[in-house]
Amino acid sequence: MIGFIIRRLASMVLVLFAVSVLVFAIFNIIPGGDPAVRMAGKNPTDVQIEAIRKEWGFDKPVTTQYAKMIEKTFDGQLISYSNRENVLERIKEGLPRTLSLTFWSSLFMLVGGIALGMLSALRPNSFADRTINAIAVVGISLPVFWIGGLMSYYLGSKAGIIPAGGYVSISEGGVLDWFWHLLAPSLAISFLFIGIYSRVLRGDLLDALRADYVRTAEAKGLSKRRVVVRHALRNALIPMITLWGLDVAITLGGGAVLTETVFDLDGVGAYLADSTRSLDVPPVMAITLLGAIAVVVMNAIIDILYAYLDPRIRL
Amino acid sequence: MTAPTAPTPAGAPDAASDLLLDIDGLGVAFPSERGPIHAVRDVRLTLRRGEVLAVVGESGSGKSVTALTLLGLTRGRGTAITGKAEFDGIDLIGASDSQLRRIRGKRIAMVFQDPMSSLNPVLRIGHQIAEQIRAHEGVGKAEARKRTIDALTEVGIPRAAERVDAYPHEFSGGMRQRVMIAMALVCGPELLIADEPTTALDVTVQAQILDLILRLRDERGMSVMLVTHDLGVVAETADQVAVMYGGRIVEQAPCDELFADPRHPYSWGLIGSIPPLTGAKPEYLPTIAGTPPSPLALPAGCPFRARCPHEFEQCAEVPPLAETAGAPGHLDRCWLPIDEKRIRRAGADGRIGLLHDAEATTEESA
Repeated sequence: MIGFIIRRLASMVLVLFAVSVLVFAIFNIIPGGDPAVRMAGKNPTDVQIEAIRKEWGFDKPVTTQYAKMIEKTFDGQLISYSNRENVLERIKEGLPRTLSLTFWSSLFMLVGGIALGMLSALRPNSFADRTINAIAVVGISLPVFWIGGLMSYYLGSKAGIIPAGGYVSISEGGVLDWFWHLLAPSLAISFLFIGIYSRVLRGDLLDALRADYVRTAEAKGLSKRRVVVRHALRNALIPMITLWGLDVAITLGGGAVLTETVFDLDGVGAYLADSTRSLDVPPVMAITLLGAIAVVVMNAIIDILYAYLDPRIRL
Repeated sequence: MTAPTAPTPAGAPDAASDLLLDIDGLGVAFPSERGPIHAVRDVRLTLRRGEVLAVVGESGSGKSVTALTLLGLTRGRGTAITGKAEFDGIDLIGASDSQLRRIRGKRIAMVFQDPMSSLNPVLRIGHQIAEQIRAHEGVGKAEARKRTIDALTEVGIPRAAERVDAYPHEFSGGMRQRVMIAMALVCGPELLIADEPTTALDVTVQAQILDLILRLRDERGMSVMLVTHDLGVVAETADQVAVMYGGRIVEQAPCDELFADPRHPYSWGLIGSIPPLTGAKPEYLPTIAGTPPSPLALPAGCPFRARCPHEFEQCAEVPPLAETAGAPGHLDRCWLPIDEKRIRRAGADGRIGLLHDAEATTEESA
């Protein structure tokens, strides 16, 4: 276990390095990437631009600039180029919103994926299976900004059934209001993944149900429920859990850019979208690194879960 | 339908009360895109208490399907199961799933071919055995665990009290099959169905597993239905033998009788293909020419017709499984008259595919 943690930490350092170099390089190469020109405002003089370059260190070699940015990121001193606010403070404000969204959406994905996948696999080619298949294909095909927009407009603004957007924290509005504001965006994210997971689980569960050990379990006289849940499902869940873990990590790391924007949640994802639009490197760098950390940590958690689900796997 | 029989009066045991398993006219057909696959047709078998019945045949002969059907494990969408299979008076074909569930693992237990894949890889073996006890008997966890350890000890697993918490991948193949047997026997079944229990194991382990099954049969008076393609195993263990081919039983006899006086040309081929231990070694091991028929396209008439060197006009019709003169309990499904069989067999010597050689030798010996 200790070896496992050390290996994962080492790989995290490598991943963070690679990701940060990539982000930094992209913003240095793209046209209009020079932050000094943008920061100088409209019709700046060369002298003004030069002054900004000096002040922010843009005249230093690229490697120095990179090292400085990484240092500031981990110091908590990173400043936005566009509005000069502290990036990490701003992320801290957005994080509870993103975490809440991740919590509910990952719960919906997991429960929905398992429920529909099981329904499909237990009666393959039945009416229920075909219906679920159709819903899954639709869910996979719907872009989240479209379904999210529809939900926000028709169910929210027009019908007034649910809030059209915004975020209410538990301390402000209580658990119920908090959940109520997150319901639509969480569902909007989940549709796609429930569609994918139910298909993945259906296939794996059908395989497991045909396995010799399931026949043994039936021959022992166990109840149908026990055969399916204890013997087949546990083996069939492993691939689905892998996908789920990665998708949770991506949402957590600000990946729900579209949903957060459509529903005006103003979380980390929305911040990432705003910063990218204004070519503001520091927030993009910080959020990308946060996402990378989330993916690496979540991967480690999945691997630990694997070892629990399948004792043949050694960490 | 027969009228419900009155229970046998106590203290007057007769042959009928001894009868544990009574299969008659059993047929199993699986659906497929090209029409039903008749995996088993018109199977008649009986098994008395304490007896070992071997069901022999090559792959696809229907022997495993017959065994699985007894536990309802071939049930499924579109599977047509016909005929009668009674276990101690209980109709196994008509039983509901929940009725069958109470019999499975409790009164009829099964050991499968491949111990590598038949145990759930992600659950501790102790758990897999204990959950069976708890499914059938209202015992607590501690009691179930104690009985699991006893069962593992009984089948010869060393340090059972520690090994009970191990996972299947921590055992060798032979040890896993012992675990399977412990699992099968833990609720004290009256019938053990063993579907090729030694096929996946190496020879020394095979012998140990067979000895174990026979020892437990002797100690418990349990009946055993042994499905196998290994005639060596049959000769060592069985009281009764049924030879299956193309979904049908082609010959059925007490074990010694079958080896001493096989009646069906397919049985000759099976017995003839065993290498002799004494005398001159044959240059080539005798084989049965041809391949088993596809269950989708079984020939009309005798299923063995296409491979049988002794085929004649009458074989276009399915022969009945009939007793031939002089040997009660010895049945076979072949049109040849008994004298003719004995003459032809003497020359066949297993080289059943070599019709001309066989005929030549027959002439010499005649």
